[in-house]
Amino acid sequence: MNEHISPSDTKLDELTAELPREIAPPPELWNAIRAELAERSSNRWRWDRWRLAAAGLLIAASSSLLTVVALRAREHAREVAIAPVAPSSSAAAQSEPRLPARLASAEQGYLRSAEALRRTLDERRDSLAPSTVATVERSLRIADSAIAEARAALERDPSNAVLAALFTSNYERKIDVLRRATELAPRT
Amino acid sequence: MASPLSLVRSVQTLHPSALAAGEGAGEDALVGRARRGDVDAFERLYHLHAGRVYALCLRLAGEPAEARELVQDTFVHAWEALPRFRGESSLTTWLHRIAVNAMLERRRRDRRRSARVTLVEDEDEVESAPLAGGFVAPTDVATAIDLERAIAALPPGVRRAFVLHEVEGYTHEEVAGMTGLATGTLRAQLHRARQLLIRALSL
Amino acid sequence: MRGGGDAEAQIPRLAALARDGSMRGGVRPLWGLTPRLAPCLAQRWRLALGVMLMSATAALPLHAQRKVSAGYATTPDVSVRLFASVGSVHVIGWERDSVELTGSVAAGSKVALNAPQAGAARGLKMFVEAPTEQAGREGTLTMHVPRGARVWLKTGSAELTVTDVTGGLDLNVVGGSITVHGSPRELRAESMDGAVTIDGAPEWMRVKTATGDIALRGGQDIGASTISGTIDARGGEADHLRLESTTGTIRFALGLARGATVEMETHSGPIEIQLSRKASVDIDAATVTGEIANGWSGMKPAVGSEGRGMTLVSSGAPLGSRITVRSFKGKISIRPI
Repeated sequence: MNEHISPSDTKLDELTAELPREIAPPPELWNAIRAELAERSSNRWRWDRWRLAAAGLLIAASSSLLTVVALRAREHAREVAIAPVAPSSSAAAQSEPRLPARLASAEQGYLRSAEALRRTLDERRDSLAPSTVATVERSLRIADSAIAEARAALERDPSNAVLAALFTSNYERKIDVLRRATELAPRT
Repeated sequence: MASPLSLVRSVQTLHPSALAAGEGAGEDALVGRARRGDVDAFERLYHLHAGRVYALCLRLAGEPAEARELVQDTFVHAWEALPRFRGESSLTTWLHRIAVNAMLERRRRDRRRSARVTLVEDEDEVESAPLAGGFVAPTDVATAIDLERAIAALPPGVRRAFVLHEVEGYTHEEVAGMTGLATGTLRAQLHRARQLLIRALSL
Repeated sequence: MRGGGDAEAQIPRLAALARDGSMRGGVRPLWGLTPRLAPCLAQRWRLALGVMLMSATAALPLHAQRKVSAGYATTPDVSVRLFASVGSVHVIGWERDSVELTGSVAAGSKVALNAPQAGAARGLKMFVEAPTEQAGREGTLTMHVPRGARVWLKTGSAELTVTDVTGGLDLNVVGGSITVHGSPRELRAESMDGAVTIDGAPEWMRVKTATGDIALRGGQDIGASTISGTIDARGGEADHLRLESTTGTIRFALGLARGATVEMETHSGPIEIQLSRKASVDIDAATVTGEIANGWSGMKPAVGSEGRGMTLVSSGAPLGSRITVRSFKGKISIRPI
């Protein structure tokens, strides 16, 4: 039921309805989550081991030994499942140079965003002062050059977290310049 | 065609292993595997739902750094609580509930006042508070950005109510259940949120 | 120079001088001194007159101006929105619960001032659009607002100055410049190539430019980002600070609040950090291919694996501040103040 009947309320509803329901999180966020899961699991494994070992000793030597052995095997399997997958150097050397999957998918998102903003900017270019256009284009060239350099370095060293952060930051700044430029130009 | 703003904001978190639309029933299988400790399955669930969760967290927190931490808290708690997930609600709704709880827990722990929000200390305060100047700009793109900013500048409790009800579409009862508020208080907060936003955007 | 009246008064006297080479008041006729030089001197005076005429006319607006004057009673926390294509805007916070807008804009400008019919306004919207960009540059506005107001201001290439506003500021220019005196609770400033100078310590601030330089003095929660401008942070204290550039130089010389966190990131711009030798701070610096030079402590940066890049990680200040620096190939240098 729509309780709000004023034009302002209607306009607010329209604007709210247009808000995106999904927003891409930073690409490195999964790594942080995975690392925390691994740390918690490791802590839990240590605590459980001592507690269960102590309980087993109270019952009987032979049965407690079997219990500990069985539990250790299961916890080891859980730890292996949760441990972060570290790319082996041989695997990295054998694979073709490419971005990590998460960064590749993030880059596709950035490229789509940049393309859409660029189209909008091109449509409205005539309403911007030439000096502004020159500033925007210069900034975009600088950003693209930095992105290309970071990308090339990442392909050689895909597990480098510093590089990954710099790579996404360069994209974020580029998208920001494009967004602000489109905001400057009124719709024609 | 989606506006450039929505494309900027709503980049799909597609992952090479993300399920295609035709594999909806596969989410149940992923949940089952994740319950049994399969982190790869949990990662696929993350990539399927992270966009919705991050959007909620970003609007609840009002700024990206805290939103990232909230998303991390949410999925870590979700991993631990997955054995208790009974499928009575959608996974997204369940994750959203965890996110709201994480947010409320943070607020209880966090003593540092966010300068971006308002001067109001009481999160349930619905009286007038200074509001960020989000303004209608000549373009739809700028207007949408202004709305995001105006939402981010709402008092925390008012913002929470608006985001959950008006943006995410939860009913009053569902929002009341998530936040622990009485529905009367919730309605007052929603009314206040609309007033503040209409004023900020000069609608 | 806006002394239009003075310039106009001078012109007739100079014209008379050029005509007959004399001034009243007993000045010797120039041609009386050196007859051979008299034509040159007369010509010199004509040249001087021409220059002065040009200067005077340059000071006069090329376009007719129109006065603007409006005032409204408001709440102390009024939201004020001003979109203006003028040459300069000065926003001044004052103790009154009212907004006053004065100045002059190019004739033919569209001026819209929306305010409630009665009662103290909680929101005001003002719109000034000049007929042409050039005409707009000659306009100048002064707006007084309650100190606790929230002000959104968007201009083209204006010189934008804000003084003594403690509420919130959202400032957007393309060129021109932004200068903020005082410490608003919340400040957002965006520019393309205009310089941004923040002479205060906002509680929360985000500044972005494309090529414009940024100068700031710290604050509680600060973020500054540029593509190729320079970021200069000095003269105050940092609590939580993030500075980033693509190719622009970052200079950091702020004091550090207890437990401060500072992050600096660049692709290829140099990062120059100055710290007190007594500063209790952990540093975590890393480059991909760039150099790190540490003249602040005795710790030597380590060369990265495969001989590329460098790292410098110093710990030992558990309750101190933390500085994290990341660079692709820009040089990171740390030296004592």
